Amino acid sequence: MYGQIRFLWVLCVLFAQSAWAAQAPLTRDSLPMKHALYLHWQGEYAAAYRAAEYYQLRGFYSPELRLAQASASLELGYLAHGRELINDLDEGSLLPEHQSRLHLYLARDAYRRRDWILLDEHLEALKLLVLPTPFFAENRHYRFLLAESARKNGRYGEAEAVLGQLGKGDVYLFYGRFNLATSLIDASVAASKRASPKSASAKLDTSRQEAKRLLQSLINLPARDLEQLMLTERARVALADLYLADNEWEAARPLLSKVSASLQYGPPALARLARLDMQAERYENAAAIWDHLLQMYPWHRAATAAPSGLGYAMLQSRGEEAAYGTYVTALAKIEAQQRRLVTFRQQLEKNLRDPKWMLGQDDSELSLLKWLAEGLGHSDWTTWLADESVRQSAQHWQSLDAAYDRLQERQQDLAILLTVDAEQQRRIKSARAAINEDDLDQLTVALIQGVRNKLSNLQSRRYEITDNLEAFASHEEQVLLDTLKQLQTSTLGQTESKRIERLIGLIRFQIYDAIPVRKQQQVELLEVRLRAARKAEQRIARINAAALRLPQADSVSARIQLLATDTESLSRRTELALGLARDTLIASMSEFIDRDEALLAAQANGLQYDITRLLDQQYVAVEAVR
Amino acid sequence: MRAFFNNLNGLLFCLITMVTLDAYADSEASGSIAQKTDVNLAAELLQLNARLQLLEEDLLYPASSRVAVYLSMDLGELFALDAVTLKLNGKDITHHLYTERQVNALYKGGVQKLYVGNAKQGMNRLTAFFTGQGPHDRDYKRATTLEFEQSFEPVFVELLVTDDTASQQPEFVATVF
Repeated sequence: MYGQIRFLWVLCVLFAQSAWAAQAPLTRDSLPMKHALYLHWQGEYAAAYRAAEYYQLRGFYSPELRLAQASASLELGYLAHGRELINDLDEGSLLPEHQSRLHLYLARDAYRRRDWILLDEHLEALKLLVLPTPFFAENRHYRFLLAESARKNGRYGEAEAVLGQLGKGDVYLFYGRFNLATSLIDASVAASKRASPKSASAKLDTSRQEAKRLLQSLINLPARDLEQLMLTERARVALADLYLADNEWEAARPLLSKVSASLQYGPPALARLARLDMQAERYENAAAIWDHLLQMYPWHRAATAAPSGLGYAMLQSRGEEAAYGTYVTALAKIEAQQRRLVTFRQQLEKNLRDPKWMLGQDDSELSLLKWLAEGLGHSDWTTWLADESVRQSAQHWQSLDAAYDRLQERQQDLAILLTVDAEQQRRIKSARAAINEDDLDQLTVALIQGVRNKLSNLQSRRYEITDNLEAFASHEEQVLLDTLKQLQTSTLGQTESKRIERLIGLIRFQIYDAIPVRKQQQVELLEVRLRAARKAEQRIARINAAALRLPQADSVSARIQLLATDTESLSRRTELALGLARDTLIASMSEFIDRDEALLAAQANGLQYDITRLLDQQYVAVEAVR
Repeated sequence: MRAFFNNLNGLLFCLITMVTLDAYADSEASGSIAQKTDVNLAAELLQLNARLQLLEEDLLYPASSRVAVYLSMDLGELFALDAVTLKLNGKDITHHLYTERQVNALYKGGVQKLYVGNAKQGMNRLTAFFTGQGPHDRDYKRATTLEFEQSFEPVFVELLVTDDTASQQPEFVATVF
């Protein structure tokens, strides 16, 4: 399962790493895909999917964007949905390299569904399209799929040759060689059933030797990470099994000894080593291994035979009394575990309706499940449930639960948006009303026109000797002139009148000298006023535009309402799905307990048989003495 | 008892065929209808979120004042991006600190949506400050400024970090596209 996920992940990432987002000037058309890919490359698949959807809603559509969305969908595990998106694509609208990518996606999808015919079709289409190009000629995923297709069609030599083109550190080389080795064994077994015994034996032998060679070559590959190490260990166990089946005990032993006891293939390797020791009558060693297996992996399938094996080894090495003690202790332990399972079942039924509490908020939190797992002897509840339907159901339930919570948040968001929308509409309406009431738009237009006229008038008279000098007088000068003129009209003597006239003349000369500067000042002042008036005009235009958008604002409200309805409907459906998921979770957990119970029952039965047999032997021996 | 263990060896040959053959083939084909429905629900939730985002933007950042700033990289070998600060008309509007994954996504050709907001009608001044490491691992801080006019249409701005191979210096360009 994890291999599959990793495969999908690596494949998608590598597809996306190609020339998809080749550097080119950013355009509004290329922006959506590049933004979606930016999120995709960070592993933000939900965000990438959402971004692709967002841009399509905005009216940016391109087949490449749809392909990016399909890729994100596949990454999220929405396989059927991703397939739908891909199927909707018009292949002809894609550039050749994108067509290649599409076929590679479809080939991968066919491989995942074990549709070998379809896989071959897409691989053929790929060959016809753009091959060889640097991308596909060097594409390790493509090679892996080619090798798998050849293997499935019985072209083992070709499959091995294609795999040989992969780098030594490539995890696909590990998977490919292992698959090839097992296919060789299957083929040889099938051939042995069809052909004459002699030729079948030869064929079987050749294929088994080939399988052994492939597994050995896999073991010799340097493991660069945990996944590769696990694959190497799996090959060790498989090769050891081949040797054991051929009665080559001593060839199997070093292979099994090198398997790490603490990793996934440790328990089966330990069980095989214990059996080898039993074969070689090294009962002390065998007993130690069986005991270790029981202590470390009491629930592992490989430990099923451990209680009986341990008892038998004790019987052979230390005699009947020790064996009896071992059997009885093991049986008591099993019975205790059976009682705990009963408790677990009761707890499960009692807390049926609250998986959240049962699972805890995260793996580190104490929860019923964790407590029970530890109580039962499983070292870690997540390990206990790993690869099992319970784990899948739990994850499924948790994802739905999170989705349900998010939907509740969305409903709150929508309520806020509704308030924002209402407030915006209120403000626009109120501003528009104020404009209408005071006739502000007309006033502003008149103001602008007035300022423009003044400005024009002033600019046209800039270099004229004006008759109206006083229009350029400062406030102080104007006051002085007015005062002097007033004095002139009063009854004064001739001398005073002349003096006043001289004074008026002086002021007018002063004004005349200052005209260019004062004209410039007035122009600047008027320009400032004009700018301010224009700003006011723009504001009014904005308000008018916003008011014109009011019908659209109504449609915004309608959109909010529609979204609210959709959110509510989705919430209801999610709630239903959540209920179903909870039931599935409970059912899977019950199934898992059933399996544990069956395992314990088998062990208990075996032990009871062993005890009975031992007691019978003792009885027969006593009778014989008598 | 020994016979029992001897027989087990015979079974081992069969066991090998039980070890995963098609390492990647998954169980999707046998997935329940309920699970498929749930996948649709999850996809629908994402679609709903996209619609909500669209609505939010339409409402909070109307087209007549909306400005969206995107960041991209071309080559980018001469500059290791750490952070970007954006100022619009002298006011800080956003600051982004980059993770390694984000920078890698930019190197590959991705485009980041750095900011969406409102700008006033008329001329606006956008300044971006880039912080990171330049050539020879030296600390590097540069700014680029763009003046743009906000009309009644949304404005898209691209900030591009590129390499000037002639001068062996990074270049920072801001354009409206």
